[in-house]
Amino acid sequence: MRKSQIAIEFMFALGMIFLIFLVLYVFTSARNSDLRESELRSERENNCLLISSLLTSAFVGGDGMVINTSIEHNVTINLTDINYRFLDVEGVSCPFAIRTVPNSKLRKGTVRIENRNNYIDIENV
Amino acid sequence: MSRNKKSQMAVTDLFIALFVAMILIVIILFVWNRYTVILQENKYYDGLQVVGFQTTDLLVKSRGEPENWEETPDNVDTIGLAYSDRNISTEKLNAFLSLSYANASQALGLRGYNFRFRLKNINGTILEEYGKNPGDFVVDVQRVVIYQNEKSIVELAIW
Repeated sequence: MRKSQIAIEFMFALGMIFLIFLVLYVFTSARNSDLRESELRSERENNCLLISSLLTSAFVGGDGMVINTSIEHNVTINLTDINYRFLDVEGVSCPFAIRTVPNSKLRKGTVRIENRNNYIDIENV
Repeated sequence: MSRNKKSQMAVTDLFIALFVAMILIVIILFVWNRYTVILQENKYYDGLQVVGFQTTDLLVKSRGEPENWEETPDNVDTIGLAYSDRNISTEKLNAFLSLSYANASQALGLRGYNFRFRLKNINGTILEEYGKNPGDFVVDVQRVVIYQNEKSIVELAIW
C-alpha cells in the first residue's frame, strides 16, 4: 500500500517534469518561429531603408549621379497616393521624400539608380 | 519505517527541485521576452536614425524639387533648403517655415513620424524653430551649415 502511494507521487512528479518540458518546447518553438519571422522582416526593412537612402543620395548628389547596388528582395515603388510615397519590400514599407521617381517594380538582383536632371531613374540591370 | 521516511524525503526533494527549476524557467522566459522587446526598440531606433540622416542630408544639401519651390511653397514636391552644398537659402528657409506641418511632413517624406526643425547659431542660440515638441524616443541629427555667411547648425529631431 505504501509502495503504491510512493509510485503515484513519483508519477505525479514525472508528470510535472514532462509538463515543464512540454511548456518549454512549445515556448521555444513559438520563439524560434517569431525569431525567423523577425529576421526576415529585418532583412526586408534593411533593404527598404537601403533603397530609400540611395534614392535620397542620388537626388542630393545631383544630375549624373549613378549608383549600382544589389537587393535581396523584390521592391515596389509607389507614388500613386500623393500623400504617401512609399517603398514596399515584400510587405514591409518605409516612407521616402523624393517624388521624382517613377512607379517601379524591381526584382531582386542588381539595380541601377541614376539622377537625370533631378529625375531619379531606377531599374534592374 | 526508516526506509519509508527516506523515500518520502526523496519526493520532497524532488518537489523542492521542481519548484526551484520552475522559478528559474519563469525568470529565463521573462528575460528572453525582455530582450525581444529591447531588440525591437533598437531596430526602430536604427530605422529612425537612417530616416534622420536622409532627411537632414536632403535639407542641407539639395535645393528641393522644383528647384524654385520657395516661390510657390504649397506646390513643393521635395523640400531642400540649400542653394549650394550646406549653404542655407534664406528664401527657402522662410518658405519652409511658412508651410503647414502636414505639408512639410509630407514633402519631407516623414509621414508616420513627428519632427522638430531648429536652426541655431554656433553658440547654440536658436534662430528658427519649427515643428512639434519631441517625445521620449528621439533621434536628433545636427549638421553644420552656412547661413547668412555664418556658421550655423541645422538640427532635426525625429520620433
